[in-house]
Amino acid sequence: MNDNQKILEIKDLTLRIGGKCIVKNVSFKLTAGRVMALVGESGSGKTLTAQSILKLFPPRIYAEGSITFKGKNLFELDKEEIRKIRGCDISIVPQEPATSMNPVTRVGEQIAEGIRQHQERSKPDIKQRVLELLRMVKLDEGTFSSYPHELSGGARQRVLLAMALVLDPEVLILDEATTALDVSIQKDIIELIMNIQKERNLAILFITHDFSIVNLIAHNVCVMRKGVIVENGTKESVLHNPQNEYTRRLIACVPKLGDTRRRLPNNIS
Amino acid sequence: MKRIMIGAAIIMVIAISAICAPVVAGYNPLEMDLTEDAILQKPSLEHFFGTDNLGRDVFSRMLYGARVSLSVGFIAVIISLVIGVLLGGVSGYFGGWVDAVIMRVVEVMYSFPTFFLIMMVVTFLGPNIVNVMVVIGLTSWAPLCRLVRAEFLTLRERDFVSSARVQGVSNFRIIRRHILPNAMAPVYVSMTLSVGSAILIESALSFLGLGVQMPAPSWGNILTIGKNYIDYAWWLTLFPGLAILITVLSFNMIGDGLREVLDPKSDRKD
Amino acid sequence: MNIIEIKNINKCFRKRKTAWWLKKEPIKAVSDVSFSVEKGKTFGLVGESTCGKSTIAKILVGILKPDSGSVSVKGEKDIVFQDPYSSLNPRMTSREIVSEALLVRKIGKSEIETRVRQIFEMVNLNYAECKDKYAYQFSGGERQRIAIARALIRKLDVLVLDEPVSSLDVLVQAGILNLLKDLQENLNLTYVFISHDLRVVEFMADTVGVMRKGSFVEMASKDEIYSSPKNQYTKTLLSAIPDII
Repeated sequence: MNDNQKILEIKDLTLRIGGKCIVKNVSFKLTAGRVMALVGESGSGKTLTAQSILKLFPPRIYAEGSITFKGKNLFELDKEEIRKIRGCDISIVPQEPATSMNPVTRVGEQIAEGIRQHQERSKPDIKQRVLELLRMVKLDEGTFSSYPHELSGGARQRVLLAMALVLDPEVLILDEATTALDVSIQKDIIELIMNIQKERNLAILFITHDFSIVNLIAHNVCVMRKGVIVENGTKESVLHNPQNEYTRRLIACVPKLGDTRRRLPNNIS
Repeated sequence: MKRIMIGAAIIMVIAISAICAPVVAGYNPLEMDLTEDAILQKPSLEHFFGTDNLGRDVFSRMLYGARVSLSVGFIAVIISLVIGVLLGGVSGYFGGWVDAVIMRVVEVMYSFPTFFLIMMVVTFLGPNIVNVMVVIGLTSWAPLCRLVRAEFLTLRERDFVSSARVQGVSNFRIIRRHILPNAMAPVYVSMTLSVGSAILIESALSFLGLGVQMPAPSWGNILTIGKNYIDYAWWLTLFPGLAILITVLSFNMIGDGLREVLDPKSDRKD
Repeated sequence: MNIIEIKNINKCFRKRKTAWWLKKEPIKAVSDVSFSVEKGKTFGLVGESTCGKSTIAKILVGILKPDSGSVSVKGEKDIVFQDPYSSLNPRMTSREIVSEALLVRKIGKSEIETRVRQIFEMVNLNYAECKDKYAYQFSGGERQRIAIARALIRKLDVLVLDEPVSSLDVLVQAGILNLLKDLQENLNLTYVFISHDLRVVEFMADTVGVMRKGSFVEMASKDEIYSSPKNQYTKTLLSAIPDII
């Protein structure tokens, strides 16, 4: 990996609540045009790690280490500077499409909100931009004036994606963004994300518990367990030649199509 | 939690001194002393809260009055609790026409001006403390009934209730073991809040002469006397007024505190 | 011998009236569904969200009644739900939860005690450690084991599993799937296994039915469904599964 291209670097990130360490010495880099998958089970600290990039974690958490975005250490920025980076440079797509939107505001307005917060633009100009985004996530222009409850789960997830992309960020964080969807819809959304990623040369951090999605989307993989990264490498090396025992179990315990095993390996020390 | 402790401590102090009134009071609350010097005395070390127009010790009268207020508050609420939980539970669990009938009754209860209803009934039945308790209880169960019904409606759709049904557990046991214990948290909150309002109603009735009859003391009828002397005997209105305020406030503090503590979203979740 | 026989069942739900001028339109949840399951076998029911699979689960165990059609399930039956948070009463200990079915059947105390101990062991839970704990003190996987124990405390013939592993982490999921296979073998249970995950269903089932919008689009033996699917929707579902390697 070319070190000059890295745009976000997490170095020795440690997060504590009280005296308890929940994330320990986590380091990885995001590069433009590459997708990094952060894989782990619930309670592995993967979501907190992602939230700490935008300082979105709860206030009682104490953070150490550094997160460098284009030469700036995000931990040293004040609230206003962080707010500028949120959405503009780094944005996040949440997991739950049903609860992440305001139920009484039209979809178009919600997408436009991000523009209004950060830029001075005329009304028709904003509308133009929103329609462009809707086309990009392959939604009908009529969606502009729909309410969230009128949309299917897949369409809602597309809207969230449009909301995240509204200000042309360079880094996109997807937190279990496809977990709540049906498989057939999940496949379409992942294809869409991959296309947009290539088109815009985005750096993506894709958080998931599901190794089979890793194969579809990622270039690099970090496996987290109990707050520690246990394995880190390219997709090929991690999936085909996992070095860590835990990673091996995680890959092996998912039933595969045409599986002839009678039992799945699941016991882990 | 802090609010509950403060509220509970105040109520405890009032309740214990009310129970031990004969010991704490120092004077017989009914004993009059009509000599010129004895009536309408200012608060002093001898008479903490002063004396009234008949020379009776206000502090002692208020202690005995606290018995009235607290017992009316508790008993009225217990009556409304029994009716509210029973009807609300039946309504929410069984639904259908039973639910429809009970809900119409609740709506009627809601649309009645309750205080005038209570005044009317007390006038008919004769003003005494038992009637007051019962009537307040019988007229204040409607909000509780709605609350319990709503809880039952959501709980009966929960998977653990379905599971119990599949296992052949009887309706009675499902209600008793699975639904009722999980439905009670908001009921406790609303109960403590209604104790406060029952005390207020009793005070108002006594103030109007429809509650506890003189010479027996209650906070409300001490206020009635105070009303006539408000220009120069401020202690006759201030102390019972404060007592009502502090008691009701304490119950509301407990209620609000409970609401937070019992909210499953506030902790419990891992 | 077929232990489950479902014939032409239909089920509609009445939609809440949102305005008085609108008609109450019934929503068809299940239409004209038939299937049967042999004793000791697993019937896999696959479908995406809102296809009606949970409605069928509830009809099988009698929580819901079908509008028409016949349901025959021979012997004792029970159900395990998807969400282990809402399927256990938060105010009961695990022992109380598991033993309730025996308690209401007026079985003696000491007999209940031995049976509950046995069942905890069967689902790989430590009885002494777990018995006095409440649901919120357990992990998702442990809760699901308790739910299975609660069902198996009676001598069961049929167990309906409604997405039993979809809210669990993969390692925990594997443990539960293994457990279910062992239990089936040891107790000669018949399963109706409902899931949206075709891989899990393939691992568990003998016969598979694919549901869409309330009815079956395809039903066949596992091998047929997975190696030569006939229906277009089945093919779409199969092709949507990401390969892990």
